[in-house]
Amino acid sequence: MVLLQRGGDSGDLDTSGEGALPFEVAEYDDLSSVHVTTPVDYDQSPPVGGPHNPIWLNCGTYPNPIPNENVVHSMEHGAVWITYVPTLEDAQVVALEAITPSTFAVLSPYADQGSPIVVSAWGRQMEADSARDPRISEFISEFRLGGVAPEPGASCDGASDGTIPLDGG
Amino acid sequence: MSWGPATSGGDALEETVPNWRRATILLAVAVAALAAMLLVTVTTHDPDEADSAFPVEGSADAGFARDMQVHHAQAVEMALLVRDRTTDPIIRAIAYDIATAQQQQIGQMFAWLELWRLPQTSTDEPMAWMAPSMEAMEQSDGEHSATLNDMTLAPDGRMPGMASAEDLARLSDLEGVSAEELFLALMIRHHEAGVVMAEAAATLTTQAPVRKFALTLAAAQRAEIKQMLALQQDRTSSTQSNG
Repeated sequence: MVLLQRGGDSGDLDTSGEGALPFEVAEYDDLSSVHVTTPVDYDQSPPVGGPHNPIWLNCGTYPNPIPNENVVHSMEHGAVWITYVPTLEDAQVVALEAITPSTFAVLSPYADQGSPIVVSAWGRQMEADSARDPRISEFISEFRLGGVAPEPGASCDGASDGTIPLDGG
Repeated sequence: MSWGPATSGGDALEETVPNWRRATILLAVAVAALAAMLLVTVTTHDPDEADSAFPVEGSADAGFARDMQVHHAQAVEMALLVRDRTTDPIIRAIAYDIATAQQQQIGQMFAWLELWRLPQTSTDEPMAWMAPSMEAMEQSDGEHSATLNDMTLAPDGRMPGMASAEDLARLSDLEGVSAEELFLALMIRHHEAGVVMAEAAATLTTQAPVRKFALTLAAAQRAEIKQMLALQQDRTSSTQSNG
């Protein structure tokens, strides 16, 4: 909750914009926003932020893996990224599609992750075992176009559909 | 509920209560009704009036929300100009990014002024709201003196960092790498002044959402300045290696 203050030291204004989620999420701060046209070796898997390609990934549902370097740029613009292991059963994938917002969200398979489902936003991440875990929607509500994304509301369309080479082609 | 001495029952009021006491009871009822009306007035917010916690005319918040809309609008214009004049995918991407991000931010600042019941246009001189911040900077160790000199209005009245009409005409006439180079030079200067404005607003605002917005905007534009300096460097190097 953001408190309004009159007068006083504006340094006390709460600018986090984050409410209190009733569960823990992993937090990574001070992530770089630098643009690179080369592959990036990220510290997290899936990545939650850091150097990224100048061309972001168009938000939406992807049946195949997508380049980290593009989708990290989408998260910089406020998108949430839902990933699932390729072995996840079809009914679970359908359930994930149903809760993925139509804008500022990406859904894609991701092999190298520590749980069946991972939900990421810039600097924030959580794991889930089932698409029916209610924390997924709470995480999306908290961090989609919110949280600590550096450019919330910048476009998540009109760029790459995942097939543009990292050097722009 | 009982106002007076104990009576044998509510129906007995007429008979047992003296006239002066009945007048007192009527007065008490009238006062209670008036108090209830006042309470309704206080708690029912008039939709035509701004919340008293909102910024007022002459505030830094109002000045920032107006001036940054004008500043951003030119960035959108320049980004769309260069996007039509180059096929370079990286420049086209950063131009799309700047155009859509800044137009979205213009919408946020527009909506704040509407919410605060303040006009989008003011007769105040552009940047006047930054005066307290500039004074504070002057009193510091002079580290910002170069920036301060850059933060004055141009003779034609345009805000710091903004391109002149001649600059925009030149950008319109160029194509390819020449257009990219001019765009980068103009947009880096534009962003540098934008960062100073945003940081001043973050210091002067009384509104938490404005402070978050201004700090986020300043950080994003700093990052974009670095990206554009790198793109500028690429073009200088390739010109040198070709020549």
